[in-house]
Amino acid sequence: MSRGSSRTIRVEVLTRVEGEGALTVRLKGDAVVDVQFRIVEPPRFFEALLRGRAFGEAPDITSRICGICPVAYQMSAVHAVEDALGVTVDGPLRALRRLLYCGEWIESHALHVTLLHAPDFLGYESGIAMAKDHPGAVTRGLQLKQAGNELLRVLGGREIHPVNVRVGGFYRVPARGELAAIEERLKRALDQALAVVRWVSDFHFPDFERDYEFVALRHPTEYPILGDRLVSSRGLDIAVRDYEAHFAEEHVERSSALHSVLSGRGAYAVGPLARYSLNFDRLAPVAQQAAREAGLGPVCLNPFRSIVVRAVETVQAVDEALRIIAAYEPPDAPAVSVVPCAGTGCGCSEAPRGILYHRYRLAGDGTILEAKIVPPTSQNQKTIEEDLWRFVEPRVHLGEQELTWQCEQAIRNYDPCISCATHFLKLSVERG
Amino acid sequence: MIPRPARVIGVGNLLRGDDAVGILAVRRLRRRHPGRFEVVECEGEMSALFDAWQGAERAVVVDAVRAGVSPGTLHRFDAAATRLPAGIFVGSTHTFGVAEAVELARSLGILPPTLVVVGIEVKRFTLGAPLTPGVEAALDRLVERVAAEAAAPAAAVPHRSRA
Repeated sequence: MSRGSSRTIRVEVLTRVEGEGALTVRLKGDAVVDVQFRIVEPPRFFEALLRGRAFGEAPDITSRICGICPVAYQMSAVHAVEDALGVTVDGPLRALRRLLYCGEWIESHALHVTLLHAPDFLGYESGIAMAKDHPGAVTRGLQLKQAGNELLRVLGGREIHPVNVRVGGFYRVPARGELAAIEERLKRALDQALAVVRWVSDFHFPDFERDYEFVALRHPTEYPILGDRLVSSRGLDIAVRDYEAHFAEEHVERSSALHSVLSGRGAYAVGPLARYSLNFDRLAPVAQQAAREAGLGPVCLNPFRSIVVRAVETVQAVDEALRIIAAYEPPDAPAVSVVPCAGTGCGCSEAPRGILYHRYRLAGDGTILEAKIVPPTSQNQKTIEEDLWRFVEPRVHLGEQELTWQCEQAIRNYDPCISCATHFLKLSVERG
Repeated sequence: MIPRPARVIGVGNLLRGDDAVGILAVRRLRRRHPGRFEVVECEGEMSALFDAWQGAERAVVVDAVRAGVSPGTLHRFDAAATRLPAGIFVGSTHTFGVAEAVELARSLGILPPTLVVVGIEVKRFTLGAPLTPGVEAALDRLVERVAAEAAAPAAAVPHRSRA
C-alpha cells in the first residue's frame, strides 16, 4: 500500500448477543490513526430496573444480565447487599458459594478455551468447523463444561440462571451425598482440564507483550474468587468499598461509551491474566505445576497466552471444587438471618472475565434506592483498544481479511461478552 | 410400545422483547396440551440445548428468527436432514445460538434422530419490552404449528427444508 493512503477497517458486531459492539481501526499509510472498540452492555438498564425493588431481589434480577456468568452477578450482588446490611457469610456457606463459583469458572472457561478461542489458533473459522477435525478435543471441552454445569445444577438449582442464591446464603443447601455424587465426574474433569492445558500450550502465540496494570482481588490464602481487597501490579491495595475512589468511568470522545480507568493512571486489565499474575502464589500445587509445564512463568504479559491461563484456572477451579466437597459439612441453616436497614454496600467478585463490581444504596425497609454495576468487559475496553493500537501497526501490510481476523483474535483474548459473535462480524474497508 | 412424547424446547430470553417468544410459545403449549409433550425452556445456551434434546427421539425447537420478512412469519426447518441457515436465529444469549448448537451437534453425531426447528420472524429485542404486535398476533398460530410438528409421526416428516 502506498504511504499516505488511508483505510478504515470496521467490524460491526450485530445483534443477538447480550453485549453488542463494533470495532473500527483507521489507518493512514502504515500508521494507525484511530482505534475504537465499542460495546453496549445491558447493565445500565438493570441499574434502572433495580431501583425500587426489594434488596432480596438483587441477586436474581442481576443474574439475568449474563447467560455465561450469572453466578458472578449473584455473588457480587449478595456481597454488596450483605455489606450494606452488616452481614457476614462465612464457614460452609461461604465454601458453597465458592464451589458454585468454581462451577461457573469451569463451564465458562471450558467453552471459551475450546470452542471460541482454540479455533483462532488452529486456523478454523469456528468451533463447529474445528469439531469435524478435532472431535476428541471438542468433546473433551464439552464434557468439562458439563462438569461445571453440573455444579451449577446441584448448587444453583438450574444450569443457566441459578435460583438458589439469596442474601445471607442459600435457599437450600446440599446434603453431603449430593456433592459426593459429582465427585467422580470432577475427578475425571481434573484429568481433562490438565489435558486441555497441555493441548493449548502447544499452540503458536504471536510475539506480543504489554506492560499492563493488572487489577484483581487478593485474598490472604485463596486464589481470588470472592474477596474484599483489590490489588494492582503497580502497588494499588485497597478495600473493595474504596473502588469508586480509585476507578472512574470516563466519557470517550466521538462515542457514547464509558471507559473505566484507574484515576490519574489510565487503562488497566482485569481477568485471567491479571488474576494469575497477581496471585500465582495462591494457585494450588497442581495448577502451578500445570502452568510451569505449559511454559508459563509466574507473570504472563502476552494476552494471546490467556488461553493457557484460562486452562490453568480451569484446573484450579476443578481442584478447588474437589477440595471443598471433600471438606464439606452441611451448615446448621441454609442462610444467616438478615434484617433490612438503611445503608450502602459494595461487593466485588472475580467473574471468569475479571472483576465485577456492584454497589447498592438501601432504604430502611430494604428497598433499593440506587444500584451501580461495573462489568469486567467494560473495564477491559480501553485496554483492548490499546492492545489493538499496538498490535495492528506492525501488521498493516496484511490483507484486509487476515488483518481483520487477527484483530478479532486480539479481542477474543479478553473473552468479551461478544466473543461468540465472530460469525456475524461484518467488515467494511474504506480507503481515502 | 407406547412412543415417548416428543420433546418441545422453547428458546429465548424473557427480558429481551420479541426474544421471549420461544419461551412464551411453549408455556402456552403446555397449558393447552397438558402432559402431551415434554416441554423444556431454554435460554439457547449450547450445552443446555444438548441436554434439552438428549435422549429424545423426536424434538421440536422453537426460536425467534430474523430473516428479513414480515414479523409473525413462521419458518420450518428439518434440522436433522439439512443444515440450518446461519445468522437468522436470535434466541440465544451471547453464547452459541440454535443454528451453531445444531451444527456442532451434527459434527459430533449427537443430534436427535428427528429434530424440527420452528422459527418465528420477530422484530425487536428491546430490553424489558413486551412482544411487538405482529409477533403477539402470531403466537397462537405458532403454538398450533409446534403442536402439529411435535405430534406428527417421525415417518411423516419430509426430509427437506420447507423454509
